Amino acid sequence: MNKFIGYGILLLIYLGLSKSLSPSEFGISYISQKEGLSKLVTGIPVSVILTDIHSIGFIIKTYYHKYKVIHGQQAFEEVIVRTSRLYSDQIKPYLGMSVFRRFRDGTENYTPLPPGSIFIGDKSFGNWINHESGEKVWRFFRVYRQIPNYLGWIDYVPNFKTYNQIQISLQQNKPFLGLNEEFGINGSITKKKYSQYFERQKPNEIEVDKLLKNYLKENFIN
Amino acid sequence: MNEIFDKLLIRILFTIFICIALFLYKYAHILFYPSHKKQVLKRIYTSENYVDTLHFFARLIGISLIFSTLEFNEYIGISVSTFHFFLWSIIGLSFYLLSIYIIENIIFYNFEYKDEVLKKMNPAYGLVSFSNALCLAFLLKTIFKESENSIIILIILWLFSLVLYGLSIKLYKFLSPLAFNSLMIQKNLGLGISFSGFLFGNMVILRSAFSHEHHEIQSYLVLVVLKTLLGVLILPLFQKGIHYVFKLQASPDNGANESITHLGHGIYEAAVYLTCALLTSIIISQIHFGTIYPFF
Repeated sequence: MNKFIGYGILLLIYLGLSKSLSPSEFGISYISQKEGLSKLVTGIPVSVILTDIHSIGFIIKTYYHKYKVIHGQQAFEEVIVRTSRLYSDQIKPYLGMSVFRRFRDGTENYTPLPPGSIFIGDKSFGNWINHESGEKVWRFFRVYRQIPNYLGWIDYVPNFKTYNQIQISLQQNKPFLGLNEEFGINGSITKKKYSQYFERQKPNEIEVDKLLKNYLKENFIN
Repeated sequence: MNEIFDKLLIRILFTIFICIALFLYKYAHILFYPSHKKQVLKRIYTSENYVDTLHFFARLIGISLIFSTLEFNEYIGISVSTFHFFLWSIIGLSFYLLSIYIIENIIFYNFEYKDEVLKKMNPAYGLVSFSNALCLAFLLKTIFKESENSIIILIILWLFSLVLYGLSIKLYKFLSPLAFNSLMIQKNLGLGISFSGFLFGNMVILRSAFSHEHHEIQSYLVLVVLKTLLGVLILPLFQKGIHYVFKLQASPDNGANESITHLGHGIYEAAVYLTCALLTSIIISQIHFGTIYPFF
């Protein structure tokens, strides 16, 4: 019995030391729920876009998220955080979308919306112009022309309907994936912009004969 | 052809140089073992006292092991490389002999070299001393390699390794039912073999704990401690596994000669411990996980 207690204590010491001295504990923040983003991001107005989700580990997985923080008046910054499985599963459908924003008055909102929703309709960033089709579309001022690239819009142009729907979603606290569901994990723009995520999700097809042939060639012939 | 002769000549000169270093060792040995002065300075009759032969030549093997880590780079200049070789061989010799002195004082704190080797010709003492000398040489060789010609790092690693090695020696009483002091007095060979296996096992684990890349000394030492601790956790699992798979158990007391029983038990303990240590070294140093940081 004493041996078991001794072994258990040693195991705890090992785990404790490993955890406190592990390099993974330094320089990478942990968030267990969406509210954790607020502490990581400073400044106003700011929009946080979930750009990648990744998990490592064989049996016990560790989840990581990559966020793009867009301040509007500055260049963007990228933040990588460690997170819980629960939060990762919850937020996964909103890949490529803005999952946190802080308005000019300091109020915060976590409703998943198309990236850059905070800037659409803000007269200090752009204005509404009449499109050939007759509808009003949002255009950033020349000085902010890089923002659509930062937001990953590609060829997306938000119109007034989109703006109205964003306002309704904000009031109702209901996710909005775009009028044609362009954003989110199944969105056409997300699939195009964050293709590396979708590439990683493809199952690895292993051709045994090819694998063996390469292995033998690399280890015994070359 | 001149070039070939030149290179051969340099090699021969270095062989002589190493022999000079061994000559220095002979006198350094007297510093640590003044009672051995007569034996070292006069002609050695190897068949006269085999325990003494074992004791003395273990150190010689150890010295050769440490010398085998040193390198001579002729391209940086013969004088510079000779000086480098000479300096590091002296450092190696000093550290090795100091290590043996310290560790033998821990292991044989109740025993005297003069009594056990010169008077009693105790084979258990000779065997343990032989194993200890080799283990320390292997350990020092690893530390020399890891210190990468930095004397400060070498001193830190040397002290650190001695602490770990010294602590590991103290664990013997928890692992083996053989009583070290009483069986050593009885010149029990079984104890000698068992303790030798134990020392070699510890050396294997410590060597694998020290063998990894280092960029910063603090994190390197922390990793050494963690790997050693992991070794302490993994080794019993292998021991249990080997006992279970091969259905090993201590011999029943059927009135056999006690020294024969101890011999068998000592061989069994040494073999199992060394096997487990070697297997543990795979777990602690040969499983590579790659980077722990996410790649996006």
